[in-house]
Amino acid sequence: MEPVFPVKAIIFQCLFLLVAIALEASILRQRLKLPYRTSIEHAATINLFSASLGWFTFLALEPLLAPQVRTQILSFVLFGQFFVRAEQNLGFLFIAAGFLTFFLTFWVKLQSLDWLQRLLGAKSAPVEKQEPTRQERYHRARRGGLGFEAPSQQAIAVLQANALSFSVIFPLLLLQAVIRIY
Amino acid sequence: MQSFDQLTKVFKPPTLISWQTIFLVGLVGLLLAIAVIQLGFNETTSNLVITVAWLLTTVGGGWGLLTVLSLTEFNSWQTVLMLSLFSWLTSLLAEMVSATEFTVNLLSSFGWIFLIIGTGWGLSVNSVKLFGMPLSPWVSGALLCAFVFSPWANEGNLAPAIVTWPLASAAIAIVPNVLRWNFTFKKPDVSTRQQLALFFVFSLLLSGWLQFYFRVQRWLEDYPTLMVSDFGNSSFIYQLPSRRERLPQGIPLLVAAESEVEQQLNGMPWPRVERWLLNVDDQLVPIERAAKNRLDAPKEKDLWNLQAQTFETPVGYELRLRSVWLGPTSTAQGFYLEKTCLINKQLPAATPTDENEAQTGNSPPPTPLGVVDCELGTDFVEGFPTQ
Repeated sequence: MEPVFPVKAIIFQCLFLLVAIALEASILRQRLKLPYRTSIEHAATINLFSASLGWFTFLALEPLLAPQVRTQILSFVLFGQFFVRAEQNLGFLFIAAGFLTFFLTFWVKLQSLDWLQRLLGAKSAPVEKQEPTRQERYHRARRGGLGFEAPSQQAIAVLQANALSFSVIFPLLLLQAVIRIY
Repeated sequence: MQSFDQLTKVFKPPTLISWQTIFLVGLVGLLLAIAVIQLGFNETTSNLVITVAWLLTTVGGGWGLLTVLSLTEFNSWQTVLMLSLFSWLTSLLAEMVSATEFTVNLLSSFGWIFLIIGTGWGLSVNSVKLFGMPLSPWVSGALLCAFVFSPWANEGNLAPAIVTWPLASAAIAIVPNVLRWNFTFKKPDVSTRQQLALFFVFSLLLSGWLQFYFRVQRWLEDYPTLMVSDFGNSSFIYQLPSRRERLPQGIPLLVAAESEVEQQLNGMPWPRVERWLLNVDDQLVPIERAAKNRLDAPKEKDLWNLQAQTFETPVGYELRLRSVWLGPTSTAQGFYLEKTCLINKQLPAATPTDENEAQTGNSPPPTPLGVVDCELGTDFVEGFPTQ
């Protein structure tokens, strides 16, 4: 056992989680008309869940990755920089990974909020929607609707909350990198 | 800390003649016996001391067990703890009279299970808290993981035991809230459910952190050369300052390659040495493979590259062997290790028959042989070698 500990990762993650929980709780409170305490508890639960799911995904995928990608990850985790000798366009990969993470966390948070509300009995299991009758379909077609459901209030709230926390944490990450360089 | 006070109160002797006195005297006697053995007294003395101390401990413990059982309610955590202690003692006794392994294991397993239930029960009844968080599930979870994985028996079980500890704690916190004693389900109220959900996701995150710690440890075990660089720039990990000198695996690689080159070239006729050196890149392929197979960290094989460069000197050649690290470092340019070998020619020692032949016949002059002389030290160079 080497005297090497992931202390910085834990501290930074706690910091970012606090920021995300505070911001997302305020959005959930406004959008879903939740009480103060409930909104904080909901935001904390979904954020801790998505963070731990992120860790588990990373830990499960890391040994399966190609050696070149693994070397890059090792370099980034241990030395805070990518391994330059590989001729790859990392900027593009970075942006793609960012987008992917954003949408995955959005989906995870939406799902976990749903589960949490069902666990707390605030929401019953979704009722099976009945097939629309011929008449209904006709009316819908006349109105010009495509038959899509409007996104639920909850989905909009979670999307907004996630976007807000990402757009605050991203500059914080940049700031951290800048401070490290100078 | 109420329960701890209670425990100390239980073991404080009320009068001189009580079970606590006998028990404590027995314990002191056992410690004394250990000291006697350590000091190297003769066997009969230590055996006598052990027997007397053991008798006192058992008698005191048994008396105490009866007393505590009669004092406290039967269905209480103290009873369970006493049962645990009793199971331990009997398993110890079974081991002393060399009963079968199955018996000993069964008894000690009962001891573990009673210990887990008893401590969890006691801590939750007295609601012992640390930083506002109930301590009971964490302690019981730790004991459960220790029991299931028994890391002292198998070194490799330490990581799984620690990693599952938060999850076991969460399970222990959740189960009594959703399951009655007669195995029927119950539904706790909304705020408890929310608290338990938070507890669960927090334990997931904690487990993730612990797994990350062990993953980093495995990386450093697989690629020890990473420890040569410093981790100050990392935003994930922190390295405690240590004075242990880290050597890159390239040094043993170079030493192995050097001995192989010496073995091949020493005593080789000079023209063949020159041809060997001309073709050094091809000659190096099997040498590199053999040297890499002797590395301590076999996973580093793909991250080292053995190179050689020859220079002509007035008297022979200079061979520079280099092992280049292809893995990540804290500085962007990387590093390589270099060892310089001088390859010179040497006339073979003249034998008497040669002299006779030289006198009699007109034989050609003897062929010089190669001799390899390598530096002891290895140079650590930052950057990438220029060919």
